[in-house]
Amino acid sequence: MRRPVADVVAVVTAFVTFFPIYWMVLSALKPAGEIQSLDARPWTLAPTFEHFQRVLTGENFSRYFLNSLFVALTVVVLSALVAFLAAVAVTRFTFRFRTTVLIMFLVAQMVPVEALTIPLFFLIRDLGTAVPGVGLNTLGALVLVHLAFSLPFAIWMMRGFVAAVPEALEEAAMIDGAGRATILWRVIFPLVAPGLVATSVFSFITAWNDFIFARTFIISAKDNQTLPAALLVFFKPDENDWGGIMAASTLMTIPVLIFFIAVQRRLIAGLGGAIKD
Amino acid sequence: MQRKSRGLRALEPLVWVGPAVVLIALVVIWPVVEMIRSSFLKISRFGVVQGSNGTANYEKLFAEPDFGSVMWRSLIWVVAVVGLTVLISLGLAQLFNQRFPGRKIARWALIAPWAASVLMTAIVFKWMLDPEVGMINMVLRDLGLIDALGGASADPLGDASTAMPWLIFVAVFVSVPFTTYALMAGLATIPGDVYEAARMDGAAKWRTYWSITLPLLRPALTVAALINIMNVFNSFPIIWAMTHGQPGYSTATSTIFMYILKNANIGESAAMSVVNFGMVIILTAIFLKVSRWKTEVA
Repeated sequence: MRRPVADVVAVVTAFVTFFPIYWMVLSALKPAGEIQSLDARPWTLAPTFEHFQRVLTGENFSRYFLNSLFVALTVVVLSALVAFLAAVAVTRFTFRFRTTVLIMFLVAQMVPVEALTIPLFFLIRDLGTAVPGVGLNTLGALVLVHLAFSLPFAIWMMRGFVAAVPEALEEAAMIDGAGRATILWRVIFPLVAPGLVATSVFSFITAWNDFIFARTFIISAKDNQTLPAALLVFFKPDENDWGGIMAASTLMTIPVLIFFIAVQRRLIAGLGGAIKD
Repeated sequence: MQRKSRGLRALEPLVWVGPAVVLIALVVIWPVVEMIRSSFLKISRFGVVQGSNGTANYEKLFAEPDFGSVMWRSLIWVVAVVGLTVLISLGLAQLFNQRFPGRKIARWALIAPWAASVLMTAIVFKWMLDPEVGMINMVLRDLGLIDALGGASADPLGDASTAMPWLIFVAVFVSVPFTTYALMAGLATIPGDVYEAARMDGAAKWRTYWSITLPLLRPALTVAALINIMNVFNSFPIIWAMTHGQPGYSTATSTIFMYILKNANIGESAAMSVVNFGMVIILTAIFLKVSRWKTEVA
């Protein structure tokens, strides 16, 4: 099966897809004078960590990093839990509003997020007066909104996995005297775990890379900013600080990239369940 | 204690699906309803509601000189980006499914644009396309291609005829990884003995792909294309970061147009959002219909 063509295409693809990330890291390491040079070269002879230092010591970066991590991880855990329960409900039961609920999940997936920032702003503002912890300027607001927007896709993916669990298994467990909770958490849950990994990757990536919600809800609370805030300080009206921007983006991207590569295999298995039907 | 339930089927499903329904209804559906409602309101530039506006927002929107071209461009944008993404991903999935020495590295590299933020990818590309210090522009100049593209001072993103292809390129670039992975997952579900049988029958490689692989890949293809249609139609950061829809409105899709209108007229912007939303629903419905129609033919 193997031909040299495959190798060449693979190398070219790898080169093209990796190039922007390479350029980002390279620019983060270039000394200030070289970045905006009229003679850009794809290497640097004088790598420097000055941009990284500026990012790390400047705008409370570690705090923003931890905030982003907190939001993304909370969203991942809650989304997996809620989506799992909902997926079991819509695959294993027929109930009155089942079709309505399924259509709602599908429609929710089609909503353009940018169009909803104004109503969402008012929702979060009003919610904050009623429920402490999810109002404006709180990390809870980010968790709530990301959680809700991650659910349609997560449930859609989980459906395939739940459907693939043989019902005979549940019946067998029941005959052995297992209760509902046991069947749910000891029988079904472990079997759909690969799907949860893939789903988690999606919810994590959207929450982590989000700019728009962070900018809509976190207006004045410095301590509750997430990573985008650390990045946006380097965009200036007169001249952008490209070294800072690239160093901050590198620090934001590399952990995710490593995480992605680590779960790469499971990702294929995970997506496989979702599309099986 | 002996009251045997009928297992999971006897449970209250609404309790399980409840949290998801409540969250989506509150945070996604309610704002959508608000958006639709405000498209019929007269709203001042500072967000003060000044009463009902009937269908005036829609009339104003449809009368915009750029409305027709924006909608047409949105359609081209979706068809071009999704079409190219699916074609490229079909090829890459097939390739990366084979065993060859560089496969692991190639798969890792492919994941990179997916892990990186779309906004940052767009910014890096914009920067690389800068007419003065941009790396892509320099390479094109060194290769002597820039003269063909409009001289030494060519600004790829400043000219409508070159900006749109570059925007489509970046959109395809960020969409290919997920699509390829979804298709590789689809390929993994095809049992090997099907190919064995085809080989026994002496089917040519191309014929095997066309009449075995592709039909079996259909569920994966449908899901991947569907997700792409929704994402690409609503895609905002790429165009916004790279051109802001300029020059003029020549690279603005409906999402960008909606965002530009927001600064001038919130009601009209909401009307644009509603039209945008309607378009996605119609496109999805058409796509689902067409792909099901294919099943009946096959």
